[in-house]
Amino acid sequence: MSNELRTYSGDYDYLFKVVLTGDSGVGKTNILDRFSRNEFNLDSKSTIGVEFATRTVQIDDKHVKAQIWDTAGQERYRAITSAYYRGAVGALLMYDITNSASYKSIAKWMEEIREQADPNIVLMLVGNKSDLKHLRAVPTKEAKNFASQNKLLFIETSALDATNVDLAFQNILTEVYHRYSAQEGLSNEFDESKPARGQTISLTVQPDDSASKKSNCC
Amino acid sequence: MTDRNEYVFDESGGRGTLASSFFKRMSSSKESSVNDSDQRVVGAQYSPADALRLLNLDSAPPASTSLEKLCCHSYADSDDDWDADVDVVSSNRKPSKSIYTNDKRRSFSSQTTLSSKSNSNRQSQKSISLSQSPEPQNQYRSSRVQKFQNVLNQPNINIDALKKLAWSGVPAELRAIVWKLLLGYLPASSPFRLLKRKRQEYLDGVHEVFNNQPRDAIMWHQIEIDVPRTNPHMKLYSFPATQSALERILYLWAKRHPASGYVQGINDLVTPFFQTFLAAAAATTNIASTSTPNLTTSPINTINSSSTSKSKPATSNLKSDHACGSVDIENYDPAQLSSEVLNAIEADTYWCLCQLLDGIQDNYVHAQPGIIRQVRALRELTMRIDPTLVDHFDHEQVQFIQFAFRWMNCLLMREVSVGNTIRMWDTYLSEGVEKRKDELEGDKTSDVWHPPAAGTNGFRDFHVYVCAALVVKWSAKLKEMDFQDIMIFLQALPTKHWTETDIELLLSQAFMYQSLYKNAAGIAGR
Repeated sequence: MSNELRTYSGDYDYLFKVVLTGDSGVGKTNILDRFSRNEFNLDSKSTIGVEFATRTVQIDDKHVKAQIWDTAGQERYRAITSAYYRGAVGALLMYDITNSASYKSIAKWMEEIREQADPNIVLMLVGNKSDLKHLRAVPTKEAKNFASQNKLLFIETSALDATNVDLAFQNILTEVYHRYSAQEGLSNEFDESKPARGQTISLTVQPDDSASKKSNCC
Repeated sequence: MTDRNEYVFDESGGRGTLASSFFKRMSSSKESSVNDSDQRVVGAQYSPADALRLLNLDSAPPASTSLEKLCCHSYADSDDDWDADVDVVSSNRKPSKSIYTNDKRRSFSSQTTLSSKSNSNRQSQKSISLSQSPEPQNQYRSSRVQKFQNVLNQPNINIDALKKLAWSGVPAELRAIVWKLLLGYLPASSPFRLLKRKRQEYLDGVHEVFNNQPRDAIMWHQIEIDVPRTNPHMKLYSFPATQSALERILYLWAKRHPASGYVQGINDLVTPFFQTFLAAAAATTNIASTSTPNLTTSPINTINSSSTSKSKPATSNLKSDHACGSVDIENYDPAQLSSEVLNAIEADTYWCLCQLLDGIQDNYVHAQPGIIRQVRALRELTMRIDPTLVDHFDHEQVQFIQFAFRWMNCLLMREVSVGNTIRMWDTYLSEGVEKRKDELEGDKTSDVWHPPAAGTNGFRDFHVYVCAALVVKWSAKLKEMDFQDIMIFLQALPTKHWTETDIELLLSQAFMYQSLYKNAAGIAGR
């Protein structure tokens, strides 16, 4: 895979669409900024509708491009944002560890995503703002239990100090990769997860690459 | 009709020509533009003859004598004596002290506390005059101010005439009063009689929802977390006095409009009003504390006198500036003003927000149908203007809703600075007329001014044309991009440091599209 074309953003083996959901103010935009640009902005404005970012990561020897849709947390935008759940293969359900109301909302977010998204979607519960230890309102153990009961991945992150942010995305993308690549015959549905065309770049994978049949680029 | 519009634009300015050269060329083609009453110049709803006359003035009349009074009236003077003889500082004003000169900007830029953002913003607040040398600029400016004053000094203000002037920009010192009139917050006759009552009504409303009703916890929480995220890059919005005012305004509005309640983005829409009215009040205080002691000693000016004593710190370095609007508003702490003045600003902001949102309430109710309609109209319109761009979007599976939702929801306030938004709103507020053209009495330029259809709303209809102009502006670039690059480009447009000239060019372009396409089926507007 040591091809210099790897450096181009359009060059990848898989494209996964992932959505970020959770109550307003839990840090969805900041975790995405941290992951996609390694930035944290104390002065960020509220998200209106949906915003978009990408980053390519390596899983096994494959380049996986995450196309991430950051949704507005306010109830009023639900009609708009829920349209973006369709075709998503992963979702981060985020809450703020210092805000128990945002944790209580997770059940509602989970239900909504399961109603609208692909049944194989991988969900991950993410407790953000782990740097604010002295203000913690949601015990790690409780969230962890909830996650395992509901078959969610779980992690606590801090967008501010970058703790676990890359790991969170790496974990969910890896799980998506395994879940989808393990299921033969899903390639069509998998392709539907591609939210947009236009990635008409040529693959640099070798012809014998077993996963190439699932590439979005074919 | 539409052909002619295009023809004129091409001949006089040319597609894509900078507004400055556009107007310069206008001035050299004086005869044809003035005399051909059938011609209509795109991009300036006030007539080209206006611009022409202003640019060609050999000697500008002196700045208006009652100008500062007009602009500051509502915060300095709570009674009805519209023409009270308080002749404020204008006679002392020297051209070099004008906020519109380059000298002024240079002195600002030496203040290290200012961000590059606010510098560019300040630059954007320069005179709408497009001339380069200071002299014609001042002439243009003072002549424009004079025109506004002529309209405003009528016992019954002709709103249509005011709109015609304001479409191409309101002088900063007159903006607060002009906006209130254009929004219908102030009645066109005896404007100030009503203010006292409305301001009290606001205070009563705030008292009612905060003290006599159970707090709507979800709504309040949303407002509480959004207010600190409102224009966070500007110091003005970090002051507690600003934030608590915005919280009260938004919460009262939300409680009074249960069909929508508070919707994120409305917090952005409050700020042009707040900033404009605050600037007027701050300038009043500034003037009062420096050069017109009679204002403060007058028994009728209780609001003003109480505010003067508190107006020391931030304005001290600006004392030499006489003109209204010269206060560094982006770094201004409203707490310098008295609570009476602050309450008045807050109440005015609230009522003007009500007026604005009444016209676009569909944007914020369940499922936001107003925005959906606007986005659809934007696509239709773009299809007519630039079909290959829409084809490219379709090919890349870019949907208009993906990037234009926010453009509608926040009226492009996430794309352009507050200062530029304020300039845009001059135009938006001037869209739509109450009277037909031939009813505009005594208006000599009405023969070359074709008013837009009655009932149109700048924030709902004209805004779509502005968005179309915006997306088409980058057509060539966008057509080279794939899905991802298009999305990333459109959600972070390089418009943050636009100058007022950029905005006026965009408005001109939008006006042209409106002229060409407004009767087309499926397009916003009527």
